[in-house]
Amino acid sequence: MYKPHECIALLLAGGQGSRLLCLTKNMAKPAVPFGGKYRIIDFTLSNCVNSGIYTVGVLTQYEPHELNAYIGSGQPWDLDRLNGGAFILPPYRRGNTASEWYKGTANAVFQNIGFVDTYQPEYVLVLSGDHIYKMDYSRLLENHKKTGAACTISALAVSTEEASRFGIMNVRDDLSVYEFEEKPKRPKSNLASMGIYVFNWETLKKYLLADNADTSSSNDFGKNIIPSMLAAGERIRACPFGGYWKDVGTIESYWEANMDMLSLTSGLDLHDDKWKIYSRNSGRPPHYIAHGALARHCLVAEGCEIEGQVEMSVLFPGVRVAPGAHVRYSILMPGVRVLENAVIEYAIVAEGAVIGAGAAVGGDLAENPAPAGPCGCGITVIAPGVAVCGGARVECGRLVAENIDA
Amino acid sequence: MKGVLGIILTLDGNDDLRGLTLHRTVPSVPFGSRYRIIDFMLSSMIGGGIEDVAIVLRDRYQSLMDHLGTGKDWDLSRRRGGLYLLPPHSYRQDLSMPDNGGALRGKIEILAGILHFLTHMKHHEYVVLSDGDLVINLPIDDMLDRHVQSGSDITILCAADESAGSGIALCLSPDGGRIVSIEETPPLPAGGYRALGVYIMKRSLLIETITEAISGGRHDFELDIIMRHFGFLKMSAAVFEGFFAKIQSPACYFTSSMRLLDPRVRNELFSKDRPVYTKVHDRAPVYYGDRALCRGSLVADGCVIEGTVENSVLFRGVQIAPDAVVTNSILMQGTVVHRSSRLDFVVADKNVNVRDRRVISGRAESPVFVAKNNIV
Repeated sequence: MYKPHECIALLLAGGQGSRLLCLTKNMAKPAVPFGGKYRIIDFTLSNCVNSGIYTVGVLTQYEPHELNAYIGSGQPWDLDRLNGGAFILPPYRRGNTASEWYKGTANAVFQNIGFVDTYQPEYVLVLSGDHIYKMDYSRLLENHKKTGAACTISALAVSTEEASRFGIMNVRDDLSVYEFEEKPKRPKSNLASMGIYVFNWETLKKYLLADNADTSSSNDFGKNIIPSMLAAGERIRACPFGGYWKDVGTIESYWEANMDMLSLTSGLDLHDDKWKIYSRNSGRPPHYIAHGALARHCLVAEGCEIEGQVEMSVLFPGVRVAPGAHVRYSILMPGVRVLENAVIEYAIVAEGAVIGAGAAVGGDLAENPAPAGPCGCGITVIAPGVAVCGGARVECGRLVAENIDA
Repeated sequence: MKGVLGIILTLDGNDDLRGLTLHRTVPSVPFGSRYRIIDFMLSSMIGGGIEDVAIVLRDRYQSLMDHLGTGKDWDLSRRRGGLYLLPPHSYRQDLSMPDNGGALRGKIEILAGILHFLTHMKHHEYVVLSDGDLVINLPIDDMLDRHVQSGSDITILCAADESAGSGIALCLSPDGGRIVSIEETPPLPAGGYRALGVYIMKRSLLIETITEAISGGRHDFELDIIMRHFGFLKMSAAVFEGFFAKIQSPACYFTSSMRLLDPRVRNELFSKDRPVYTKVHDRAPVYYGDRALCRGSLVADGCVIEGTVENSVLFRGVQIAPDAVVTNSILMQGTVVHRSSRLDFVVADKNVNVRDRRVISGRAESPVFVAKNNIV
């Protein structure tokens, strides 16, 4: 029997994403442009709708305006529905209890127990809005139902070097979890939690209530809820995931993930229509590559006018590259203008920025080993709306947040 | 803009696009890398503030219905009004009028078929009536304002351009303020203006003139309504000076498409203030491969370009394999060109599959048209 609200999704989109620096100064991380056309949250939203999950609560908090306006009625993701759909859930003033901002991932869900209860789901899928991946959540749910677990965590096999950055699950042969360690210095396994959980709702509710009463808790799924459940003997299972998955939380990983989209073998094919990634479309006319221009090994979106040379780069809608300009290994966000003979290499140029004629931004990482800049890597970042004057030179790894005048 | 109803007719009339209109009418012909011809007039209407648009279907309308859907992508899927898809209505004014067995005699007959609908739209004082073969970005709100201010009964959109096809010709007074005469002459007289098939008038006047014409057995809109009433009704000309294309023949289709490769033309047709809407396909940005060489071309989302493309217009989801060379061509949605094939002056309809090492070569005056779904 088809039960429309058997499982609803809660998308945690409230974090600041501070390691993305100026890219998240005025918008939450899930709203950051990605992949030439999308925003980071498009992947999770599209995964939900492609998996048959049509009720999605998006928990926002930090700088939500861009994200809220972007999601709107949910129509671009087919989430404008009579029953269910996409809902923006910010913190709110409560009736008889003290109101507070979301204190942690678990607290955010705790504060929305009322919302979830309206749908009386059997299961709740907790997701984050800042990962790039394609996943069929219905398979995860099926796995969860089959094993009879109280919680199933989607798991990614990571290298031993990387393991200390993740929540690591130590499992038995049947993939049942007996230990969960947050960022262990000496990891005992390489199965990392992807921050994607399926819970039996009634069970989760119990632990959320208990967690809220615990004043010493940081109200976090990985640090508090999962360990409490484990300690109480709840059945927790890991469900391995084999596809492309990337946490784009730092400038470096964000840049790398965009570059991965240029590879035909990354494991995530944006052109695969069997699992489309939906987004709000720009509605611009098709792009034009001029005579004498070059577009090689790159992604180019609608509305671009390319008169210069673009290689190994990702261009968002409405980008203009003037004659003589060179763009390599870079990401140019919507509306960026690159004037004549400017050179941009290994850079992220955010929305609406203008790079003046003959300016040079960034440089080849191989020739310029990464300095200890604010980005922590050799990628140069030009903040949204910044104008870099003609002839200016912006070194590798620099973050430009203000206009550079002559 | 309250009180204005847009009407787009979709009969082919004098237009003959051969293979391109085998399974669709002209308004549904793909144009400009991601649009269909009807998108331009439809977007002009929406851009001018019109919230209710009726599309009058005649035949081969599966394609158009599929494209328009509920009108959502044009913001016309509404609780109040929005898009009206009016299916063909074979009408009989009274039983003594012989039904012509389906053969269309003229635009008036189509309009007579929607008289009931027109009478029903009581809240609309004005109608903007348009043919379905016009590619244009028209400031309809301006045209409407001037129509109302001038106190005219009918405003006729026209252009001083021979390429405007075979509509009626207007002769204007030197200051352009007055229509001196209207003729049916095929060659445009010197200083003459060709009507583009867009008219503004009161809904009541349209109903009245259609009813009168059909009861007299008259079926040609331009002849039997415009020319017949010239001198009795007050008519103004609205002269359009920007880029437009009236797609009436395969040659015209090809040359107009190629004109979009000129940035000045694109600036006029695709204005930021009045965007052109079309059905959304949610495709990924275009991927240019390692050996891609693309010059002087318009490319829509979803394409994967690994070969050479020059002076061409590529629609959504076209794939060009390495070593393939496409020049001076128009490749519609989903067309795939495999390795080492060469296409020159080719118009490929949707989902054409050109296998390896094929050569298809046309000429500027007569490009080769490849039918939809064909495998070459």
